[in-house]
This record gives sequence, structure tokens and C-alpha cells, in this order.
Amino acid sequence: MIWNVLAGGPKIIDTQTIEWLAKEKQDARINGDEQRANDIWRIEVIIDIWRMYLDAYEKLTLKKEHEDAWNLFAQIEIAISSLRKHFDLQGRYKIELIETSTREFQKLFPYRMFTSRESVIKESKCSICGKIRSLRRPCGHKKGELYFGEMCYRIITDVELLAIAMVKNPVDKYTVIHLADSSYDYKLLDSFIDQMDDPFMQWRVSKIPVKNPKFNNVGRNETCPCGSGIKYKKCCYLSGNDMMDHFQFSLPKDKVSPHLIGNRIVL
Amino acid sequence: MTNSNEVTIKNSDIKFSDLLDSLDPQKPHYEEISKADILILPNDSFRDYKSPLFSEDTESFFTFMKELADNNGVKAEIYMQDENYQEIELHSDEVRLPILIFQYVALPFVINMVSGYINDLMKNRNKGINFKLQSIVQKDSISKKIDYSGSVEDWVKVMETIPNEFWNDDIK
Repeated sequence: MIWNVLAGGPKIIDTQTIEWLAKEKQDARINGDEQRANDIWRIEVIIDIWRMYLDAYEKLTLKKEHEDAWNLFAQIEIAISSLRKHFDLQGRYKIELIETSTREFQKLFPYRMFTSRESVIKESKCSICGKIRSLRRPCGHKKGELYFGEMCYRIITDVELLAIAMVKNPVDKYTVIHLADSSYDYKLLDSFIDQMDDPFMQWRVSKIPVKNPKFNNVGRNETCPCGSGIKYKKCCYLSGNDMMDHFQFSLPKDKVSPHLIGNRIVL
Repeated sequence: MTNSNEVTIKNSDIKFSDLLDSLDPQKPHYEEISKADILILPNDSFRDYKSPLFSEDTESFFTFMKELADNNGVKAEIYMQDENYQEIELHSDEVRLPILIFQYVALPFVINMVSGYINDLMKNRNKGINFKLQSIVQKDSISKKIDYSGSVEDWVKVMETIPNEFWNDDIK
């Protein structure tokens, strides 16, 4: 039973098992058993999601390799999106828990701006059969569907890059912008990660806008503390630049340390 | 995702007959296009790009629409020759469907087809989707253009008001 490979829950699966699965998938293809080949694809994706998540957790906790962890979270999102169409995730193999934790971790990263390419796709081919894709003479393979243990995607063979745009909500989250002579501040993320001792702990974070203390007790007609020289009510009060993000965490009760109130901590 | 929906409904100059007039009858697929109840149109212009471009993933949308149309006796086509088909890929998180023009009689099919396509996309994402769609609906010699941005549930409600909008003289 190939699904037994996943017994016991998330862990790093050894190379020998991964090679065995690849061979089983190859045999299933030779025998024309598409259902088995597709099941092995599902298992392989789950194993990959586990590996990436545990790797990202290690990079955050031990190695402090924040951007590598971010990129793994981005890949996890893509993998789960591919899997969801072909597998009922409901409570199985902790994939939904990983998805939730991934989204929560992403909120704690300081990245706010990304790049996104604008390009004209002139020609692409099918990853399954290699034929050039055509509107009215399709090869029959549909993007995102499974065919004997492989998911169909398109391979772009002719593209014209028009521009690189700066966006807040990119498809490709690994396109983080780095400014010369500056680095990101991971203090919030590091402070939280130090509270964790289990990658599968259930937790949530909410981002609440609160007034920046610098603007407390400033009258609307007073000069804006930002240094613009104009009235507060016409400056940061109007633009909302007087607000800042306040992060509120919800943790399991047994993770509450003495300086926390109830099951919430404020960093 | 935001929950805000934006809708504008205006009279439109675009009509099936004008689209056909600008096509060469000798070109392949002229007959299919001329009989279509629904056509996918390219974007008018994308930053003055030299040739017409279609929204990202129009190919998948066309395949989905064509299969459903064939099964429902509706004629659906795309207003482009295969060799000139190009997509603009913006790589944003936003879902932009291609521009549609359709005959009024095909309205129920369009509502069913677009909501089915978006619901399929949502299965992969585990979250709601805000999408953008420009559509032009023609009844006799009158065309109305509906620009929509928001959730699929509210888009369906908007489209269900279309039968009343055709007699609304306030729309200019």
C-alpha cells in the first residue's frame, strides 16, 4: 500500500523511499495504471510539502536564513494549490495546518513590495506531449490536470518582456525587492519564533492598526511630528501615516509564558 | 482580497456586425466567428502594444467555455486567428477574465459559465477570488458594456439585473 509511506505524519522521507516511489510510478505508467501513477504524484507532492515546511522552520529557528525560509513558504503555497485540485486535504497529513502556518508566518516577514513581470506570451508548449499549444487545435492536455502521474503545465518558448512592475500582491512571492545599502528587520519574526518549539503548533496572528506613539497627544492643528512643516490634520492624520501595525498572537495555553496575559502575547 | 465590488454599466458602440465587418471572410474560422453567440475579444490596447493581446490564461478560459458551449448548443468563439494569438501576462494575484461580447439570449449561459470557471479557480486557492471582467451584451441593435470587479456571487446578482437595464434610459 503506497499510502503507508505517509504513515506517522510529517517528517523528512528518506531518499530510498523517494526513489522507490519514482520507480513505482514508472511501473504504473508502463502498466497503463493512471490511477496509481496519479496517487503516487499526490504522495510525492505531500512529501515535498513536508520537506519544504520542515526546512523553512529550521531555517527560521536555527539558521536564521529568513529569505530562504520565505522562498520555501512561497513554494509551499504553490504546491498546496496544485495538490488541492486533486486531493481532498480535509484534516489529512497536516497539509491544512501547514498552509495556515505558512500564511501566518508570511504575515510576520517585513517584505511589503515585490516585482512582477509584464510580458507577452507568444508561444508555449505542453509539458506532457511537447506540442506547441494552439487555441483551436489543442493537444487535449489541460493545464493543471494530471496525466499518468504528471501535472500538465505550459512551457513558454517565446516571450517578450515588456516591463518589471512593483506590486504589493504578486503571484511570485519570491520576488522580494532589496534596496541597496539597507537590510530588512526580522525582529518581530525572530521574537515570535523563539516562543516556538514545535513546527506544528497551532497559532494565529492578527495585524491591527494602532496609532504610532509618536503621534499621541498631538492636536489636529499642531505641526505634524513627521517634520513636513504642515498641520497634522492635513498631513499624517489625513494620509494615515500616523498608524502602525500591532501584532496580536494567539497561542496554545501550554505555550503561555509568565509575561503573557491569557493566551495572548504582544511583541 | 478586498470585499469591495465595482460595477459600471454604459452604452457601448461595439456590436457583432461591426466586428464581422472588419474581418476578412477568406480567413480561416470566419464562418464560426460570424455565427457565434459569444466571442472572446482581445484587450483594446495594452500600453500601445503593437498587436492585440488577450488576458492571461485566456486559452484555458476558451477551452472551458467551448466545451460547455458545445454541450449546451451555444456557439462560442474567439475573435482571433490561432497564429496571431498572444497573451499579456501581468503576474499579479488578480484574476482578469478576457473581454466577452455576447448576444442577450446567451445571458443565462454566460452567467453559468463564468461562475463555474471562477468557482473552479477557487477550489485551488482555498480563498475567495476577486475577479475583473469586461463584458458587452447586445440585444437587437443595442449594446451595453458592463465593467465589473469583485466577487463572483455579486457578479451574478449584477448580471441578473441586465434584463431590466435594457429599458433603463439613464444609462449613457
